[in-house]
Amino acid sequence: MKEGRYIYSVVSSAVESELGDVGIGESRVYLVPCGEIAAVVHSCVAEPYVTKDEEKAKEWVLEHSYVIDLATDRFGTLIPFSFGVIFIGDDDSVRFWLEENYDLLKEELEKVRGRSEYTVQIFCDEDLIKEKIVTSDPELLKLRDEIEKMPKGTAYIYQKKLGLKVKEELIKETNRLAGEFGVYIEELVDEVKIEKKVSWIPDKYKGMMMIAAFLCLVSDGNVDALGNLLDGIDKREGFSVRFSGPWAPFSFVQLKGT
Amino acid sequence: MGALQLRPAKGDVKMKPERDYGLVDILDRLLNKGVILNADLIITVAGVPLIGLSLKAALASIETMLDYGMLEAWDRETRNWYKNQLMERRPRLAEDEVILYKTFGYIWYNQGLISSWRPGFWYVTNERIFLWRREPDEDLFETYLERIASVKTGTEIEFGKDREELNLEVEGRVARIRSSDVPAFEDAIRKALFNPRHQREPELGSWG
Amino acid sequence: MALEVDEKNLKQGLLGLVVALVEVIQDLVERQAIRRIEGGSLDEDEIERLGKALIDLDEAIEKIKEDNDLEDVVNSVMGSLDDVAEDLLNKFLNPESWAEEVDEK
Repeated sequence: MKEGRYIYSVVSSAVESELGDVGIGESRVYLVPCGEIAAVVHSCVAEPYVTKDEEKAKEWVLEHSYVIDLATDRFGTLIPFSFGVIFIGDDDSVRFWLEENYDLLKEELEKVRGRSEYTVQIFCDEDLIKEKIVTSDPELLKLRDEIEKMPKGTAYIYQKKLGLKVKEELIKETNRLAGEFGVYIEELVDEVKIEKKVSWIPDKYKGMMMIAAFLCLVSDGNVDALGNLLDGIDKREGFSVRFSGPWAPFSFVQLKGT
Repeated sequence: MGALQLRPAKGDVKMKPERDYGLVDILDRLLNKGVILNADLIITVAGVPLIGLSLKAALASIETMLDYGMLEAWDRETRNWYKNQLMERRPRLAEDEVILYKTFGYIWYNQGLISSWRPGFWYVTNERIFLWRREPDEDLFETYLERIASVKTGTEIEFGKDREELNLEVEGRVARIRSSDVPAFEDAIRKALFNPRHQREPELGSWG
Repeated sequence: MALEVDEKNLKQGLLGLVVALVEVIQDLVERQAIRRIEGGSLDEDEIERLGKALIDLDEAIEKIKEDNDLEDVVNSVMGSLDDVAEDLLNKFLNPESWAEEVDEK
């Protein structure tokens, strides 16, 4: 059975040290340094971590996440690895890879130093916005009034027509707002990405319409300012902001050419 | 709709970010993001062979189940587990007990066929020294300060490396202790021991 | 998917799929009706008759959903259809990303 090294992240550190038996399956997690950077690893067999047991899988992923948090605590913002990356070989194999990619890794670490990833999701009360749309458009208001007086079948069709028009305006307006929010957010953060697929939102936002989902790389010094901005949005009637973080910069690390 | 008004902060009005520890947030980051050198294949990169894995197939079903709202209890459980791991677990202290020093370290455990360095968190308080482990929640070692007969530090050679060690003599037995900064640990113990609460002065020293 | 497929699930799943598709058709028919009215090709009585027929259709669909507890399944199918549509649209606009995905496999 070949030896392997499971890698959690690359950190800024020039010295050997260890984090303790805090890794996946209580593995001993330690640093393999190379120059001014180091890989955070644990020793294992060079076999992939696979299981059909979902409980076990969940445990592993959480343990990996825990190590990332611990290492971030100790060494500052790091380059986080996806779950399950294993080098075949020993510490020297890891060291060799670090050497080969030294400049790239150093650059990436520099880019994320003193920064963290935050999720910003902006929700709105659809009905509230729709009401505002109707009341601020005299034609739509007129149509709504007339529908009250129509016979059943006719009213149904015109109601559908009103609904479609309002929906169309809703999309235009929420897109405009999202764009505006995006511009303000961009001012305060180092980098922003649009989150294309949001897999989960907490219960308190269910039933609201999500109008924007951003992933932001934010300097520690700017988090408060961003919080202020988001607070301003959150306090507007019908809006709710989810501000989650700090996370390790998972969405912002790209090691091209490794 | 009105233009966006940026309001100045009134004291502590700002919104603070939350780590809500949702399982799917963590899964999404660890499985779909972060650095991946490769998945599913054995490849060599500049002569260093790597393997990755795909846990995605096993866990994709978890995400689907979350869509159907079937795993919300599990999700809550995960959040609690995670919070315990990272933040909330603390060792139990007496009413007037105050933590003076804390560090990660080991104790030498020798019981018949089993002997190894057991890891945990060392705490020096105004009453005791103990080694505590989070998971499972247990004390691996504990002694009240007044029971300590001597505190000695020295160096052992292990696998060709010099390793600093702290030895506590308690009731005729010696506890072998390691930590990342033995001198600081020793210093903390010294300070705790010289508190006027303790009448007896234990022996302090070192071996060559 | 880790859901157990038993007879009840299967029936619900299939029924849900059918109802979701019917709702899509309903939506198309309703839009078509609006366009015809805007185009001026229907008189008042015809509009009223058409409207009533659409109401009947809507009520029938709602009843089937209620009787068979299909609300969630149908919503889920609609959601998936949205995803599939969006996915296809993206691939159509960005043929490179389609190529990338094939490569990864």
